[in-house]
Amino acid sequence: MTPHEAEILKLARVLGTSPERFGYLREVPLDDLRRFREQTSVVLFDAHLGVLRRMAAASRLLPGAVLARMAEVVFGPLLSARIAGLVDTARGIDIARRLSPAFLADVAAELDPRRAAGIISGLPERVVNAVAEELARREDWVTVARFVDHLPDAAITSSLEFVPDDALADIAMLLDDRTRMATVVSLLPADRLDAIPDDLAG
Amino acid sequence: MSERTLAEQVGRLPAGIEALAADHQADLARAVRDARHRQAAALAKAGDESLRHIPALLRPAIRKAVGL
Repeated sequence: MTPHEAEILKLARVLGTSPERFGYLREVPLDDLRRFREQTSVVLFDAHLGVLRRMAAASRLLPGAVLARMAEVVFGPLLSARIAGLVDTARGIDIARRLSPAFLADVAAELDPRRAAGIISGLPERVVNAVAEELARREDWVTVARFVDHLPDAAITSSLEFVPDDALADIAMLLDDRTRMATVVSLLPADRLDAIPDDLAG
Repeated sequence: MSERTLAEQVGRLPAGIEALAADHQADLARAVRDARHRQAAALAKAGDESLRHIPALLRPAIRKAVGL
């Protein structure tokens, strides 16, 4: 995967479309592509913010079990990801631990980890592991990389157990913060380091 | 009514995006618009369906909180 392919893949994910559609972006400077993706992400996350905030406020009136069921049956992963950044951290964790790993993986794919950092870092290890395993099964390296950018080291260490060696180079290429790769390298067992090309190893 | 351009939707464009051909900018504008519409449709659907999953006693309070 080239840096441009990685950036186009991430933009396509934000926009919910296929990366093949954006072949014409291969000539755009990487920094400009990245800034455009950030702009687009902000626009989408801030769209309908008033309604989403009211929904998050209303959620305080409902039991966690009801909210978890509504998240899976009514809201779906896109809205759940948007609301996750707006609910209280403790409430978000309580709901997340009641959701299936498959649904949480769907939500993770739509989530901006920066907006739900408190929830993510507060999730029980068994939940993080289950989601990491599901994302690895799907080979969703865009989402895995996004979380490596923002997860605490302990969660990265356990999540990396589910990532095959041949995906490590792609994940390195998909990181927003390349300096995080040095962290990944420091957390990997020595016998896995050969899977990461020297120029990506941080 | 004309559809909003890419810059009207996301703000000032980075130079490399601004330099794209008009049809490519239009494609990006369409992609952003479609993503917003999907989100709006999901919200509308959730608004319609969510009350059915809420205990009847709590519905008036939820309606008020959400502004329905």
